[in-house]
Amino acid sequence: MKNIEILRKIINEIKQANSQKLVDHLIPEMNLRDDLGLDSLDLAELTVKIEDEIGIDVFENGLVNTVGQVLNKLEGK
Amino acid sequence: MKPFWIETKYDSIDYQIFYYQDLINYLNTQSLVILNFRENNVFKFFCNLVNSVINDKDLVLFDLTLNNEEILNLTGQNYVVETVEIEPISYELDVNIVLEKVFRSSSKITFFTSGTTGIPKKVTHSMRNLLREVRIGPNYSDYSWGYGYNPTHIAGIQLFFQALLNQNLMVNLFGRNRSSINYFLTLFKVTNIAATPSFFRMMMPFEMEYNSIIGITLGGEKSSLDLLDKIKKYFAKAKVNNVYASTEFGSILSSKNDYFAIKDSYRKYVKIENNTILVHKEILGENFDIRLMNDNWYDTGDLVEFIDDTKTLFRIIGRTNELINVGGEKVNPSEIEAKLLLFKEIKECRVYGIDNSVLGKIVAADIVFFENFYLDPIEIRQRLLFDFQSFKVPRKIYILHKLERGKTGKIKRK
Repeated sequence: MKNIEILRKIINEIKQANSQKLVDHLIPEMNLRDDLGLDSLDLAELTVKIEDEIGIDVFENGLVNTVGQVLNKLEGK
Repeated sequence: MKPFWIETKYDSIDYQIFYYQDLINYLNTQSLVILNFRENNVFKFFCNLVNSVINDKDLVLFDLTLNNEEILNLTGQNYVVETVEIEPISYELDVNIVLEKVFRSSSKITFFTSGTTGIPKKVTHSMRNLLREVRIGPNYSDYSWGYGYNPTHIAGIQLFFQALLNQNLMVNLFGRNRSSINYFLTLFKVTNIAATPSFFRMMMPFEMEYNSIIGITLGGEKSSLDLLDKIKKYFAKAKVNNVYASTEFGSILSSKNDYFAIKDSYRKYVKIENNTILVHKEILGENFDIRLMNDNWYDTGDLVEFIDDTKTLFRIIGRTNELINVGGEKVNPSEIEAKLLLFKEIKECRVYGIDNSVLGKIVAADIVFFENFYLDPIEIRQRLLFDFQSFKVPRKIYILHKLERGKTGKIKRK
């Protein structure tokens, strides 16, 4: 599965648990908080789940704000 | 001949009966006491224990399953057996003489404790302290015990003396599987079971009604209301005694429910301050951690919540050192566990914190379902959100077949 698909799957798990609407697709410009409606707890959960699946702690070196920035971290950039 | 100890195996119906006469024969012929016994033979362990105590020798108790490396890690030294010769006596011992000597013993017994977290430490108790809660009398003479504790831990030792001093039978159920436990409870018409809440959870789902059991003692861990309710339902004829105890101070509170009150006779030894239970050094074992003492009072680290306005009745709701710090908000894992255990699908659970670069920690949970039951983790979280704020709800849920347990049978806390 491509990283962007994994990310969408994880984000939708979080949204489903919060009883929020799921996202159909992600674009790199989307802001995690403002566009995807994720709060700190959701972001905390996101990092744990991404790390479990891909082995990378996306927020290790500080906050990351957009989908594009997350994907860059996953590609080692 | 009165039976004393029934030795059993994990998943078999084989057993071996030892009688009080076998114990007496041992005491009349064995002139050597092992001060740091560690053979994996519980009958012999008890014989040696009684032999030490009636000769006022001090003992150190090692878990009987520890290997050499574990003992090295625990004590800092390689194990070397230590023995002492006992002075011969000119008369034959009988049961009554032996029990009298046990009752008057000045021996001290050293236990190792690590509880649910942390580094093992030594706690030493006098026999006087250990026998503090023992009740002897004709009312107890027909009891027989389902022995569910680790024999080398304080609960096991207190149970042992309760049974011994009333010449009761004990059936070894510690670490045994569910069908063996049920088999032996019926075969030996056991009247009382004493064990940890984890032991009773392992027995669940209860497959039968246990009508011959007249007494249940649960202790050594926090009990939850759901467990007590289930026990009362399946052990309909039993008086339930929920005991609050620890290796540091033995048992100090008991109740038929999940809430406690401090007995008048214990008021000078136990108090609540800042919703934490404090215990006076008078009833502590020796070698307590001086850092936990404040003006002769020991902070147990156990958190309570009063359930009445007069602040006499309280529930134990968790431990101060187990609180999970989620971005500055504190979460009590016991609170979440208690709610999870109310779901009929969930047999056991453990809630804990996992490291997280955004908030420090977030809450995670390991869950074991009853056979043939399942709940989707998302559903579990949605249900918890009815009762708890979002930061308290486990964000990562692991479904397991069973939870890791320590040497007492307690669920290990991460």
